[in-house]
Amino acid sequence: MVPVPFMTIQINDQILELETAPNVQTIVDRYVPSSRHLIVEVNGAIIRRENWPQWVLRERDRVELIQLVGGG
Amino acid sequence: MIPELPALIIAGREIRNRFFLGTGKFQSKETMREAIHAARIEVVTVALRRIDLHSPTPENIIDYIPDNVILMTNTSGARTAAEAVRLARLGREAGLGDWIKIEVINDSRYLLPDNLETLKATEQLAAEGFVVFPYMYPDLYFARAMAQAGAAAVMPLGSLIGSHQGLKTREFIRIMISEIATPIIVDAGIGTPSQALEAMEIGAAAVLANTAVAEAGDPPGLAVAFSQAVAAGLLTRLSTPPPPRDAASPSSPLTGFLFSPHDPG
Repeated sequence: MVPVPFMTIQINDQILELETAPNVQTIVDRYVPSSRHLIVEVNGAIIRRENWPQWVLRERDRVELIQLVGGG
Repeated sequence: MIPELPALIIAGREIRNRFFLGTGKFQSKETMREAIHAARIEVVTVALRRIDLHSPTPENIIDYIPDNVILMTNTSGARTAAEAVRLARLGREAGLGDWIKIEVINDSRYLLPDNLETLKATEQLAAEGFVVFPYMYPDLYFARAMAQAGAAAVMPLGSLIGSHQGLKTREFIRIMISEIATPIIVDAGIGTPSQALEAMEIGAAAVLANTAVAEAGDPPGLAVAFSQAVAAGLLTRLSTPPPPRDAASPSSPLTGFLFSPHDPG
């Protein structure tokens, strides 16, 4: 049986193994039910919402999925 | 007739309610929304946090804040100026606007702000066009430097965050108010409307509170009381109350008494 290829990326504080070459939109759709006010960073750079479908992730990329919450 | 109070003008925005409300710790987002609505809050703070991948439904707190309310993103969680700058840029990217409360804190027991890192973040973010509100420990030199760096207002703590201890730092806030033209907004430790009123009486431009309202038995009621107290404090200051005296000063005339020592008994 041929092993399924995988890649490792970090999302927030978790190391995850995924299929090769997901884009940011794929990650958002999988992990965030409602992305209305979501902010995404990849390797410290903010990725604008309109670029999510085109931004392809690579091995060992660090993704941050950030939301707005109540705070003082 | 109660006179109309002057608006607080910051970055071209006119603010009528000088009581600013933090949005953390409420029992529910609905209660928070009711407090904002009941008190006609015009400025609130919000924070930025990672999505929890195990329970990823976002809070979408923005959906519970009216559109006309000014959002001030705080940089809570930042331990350095660089982290605060990063959070501010994220807030702007999220469409929250340019108003940033800089909060740089390194200790978890007292949550005291790091004035030096806060100053560095103020310099960087003011240069990038943000409307900057540094939350700081009331030190005149740092406050002056933050004002000179372009802070829209300086926010000294009254006492420890969430402590309800009131205006413990009043004398140092008084000094800042007397020495710096930039608006001084008292933030942290304000637990009751009377404490907020006192801050306004000594010349603060506004007051920010969160825990007191969120933890109240009736958060909308207390938010209204805070708003009224802040207005009363401002009106008091503008009305120039007389200073305290050491001795009594009678309120009724000293002549024409009905009873005098020379009257027949």
